[in-house]
Amino acid sequence: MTTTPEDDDAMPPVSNSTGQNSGAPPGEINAKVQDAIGRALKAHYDDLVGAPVPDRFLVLLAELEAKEKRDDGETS
Amino acid sequence: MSDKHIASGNRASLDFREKLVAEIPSLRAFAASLSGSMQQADDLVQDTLLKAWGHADSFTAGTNIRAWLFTILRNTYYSLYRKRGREVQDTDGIYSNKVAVSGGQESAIDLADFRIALAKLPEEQREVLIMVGATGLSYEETAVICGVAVGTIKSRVNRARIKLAELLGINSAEDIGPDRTSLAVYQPGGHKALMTS
Repeated sequence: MTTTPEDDDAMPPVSNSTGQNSGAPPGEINAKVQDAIGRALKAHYDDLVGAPVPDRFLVLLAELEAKEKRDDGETS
Repeated sequence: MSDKHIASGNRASLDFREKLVAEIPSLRAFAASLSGSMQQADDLVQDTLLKAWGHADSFTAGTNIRAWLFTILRNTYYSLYRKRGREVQDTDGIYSNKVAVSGGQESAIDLADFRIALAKLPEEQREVLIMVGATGLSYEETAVICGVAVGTIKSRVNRARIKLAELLGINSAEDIGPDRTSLAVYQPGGHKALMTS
């Protein structure tokens, strides 16, 4: 993968519609906003992590292991 | 069976299977965040587990198995699954059907709103934001997984946050409700007047 030039460039300016935001300067993000995004990100991810795991994966791994044991038995 | 044979591969140890099983929830969450589809996520996880099993010898014991598996999953996604666009095109479950599922209680941003915004990020930003912000992977590990410099990861994370704030309309602290438990983004000037009438 190649690194595009923009990756290392300065941040694009944040549009500041009201002009009176007590926030961070352009290109940076207010600490409270960042904190809220961080918590939302965790909520999103943890919700997915907490979903029940379908049996198909456990079955698949059990089958792979069983097959390997069979193969080992044949070769030893 | 000789000792040499037992030591010949990671697969030989039951431990390896247990490690894979333990990572399945994280793999699904990452795959769903990448693809926006739970069904595609499960296909991706299945491919990842098969490849991981087949290439168990390339895993270095003692290193972070999550980083190793994420690398496999991510490569599989970009080589086989990725659609033309850079945004999540079609959301079959995680962003639409499950929006009623809470999780938003601890955040000042509604989870459903957040997922819609997250899906709109360019995928190179979305993936690093998830890895760094939610999975417990370090910037360094994320950089190795993505094959770019740490500075590039930091840059992408920063741009992802700015873009999300923009999409969610929360460019300043005033745009976020003062109450940590508030579910919705605070609407400035909303219905305050009604309270005094």
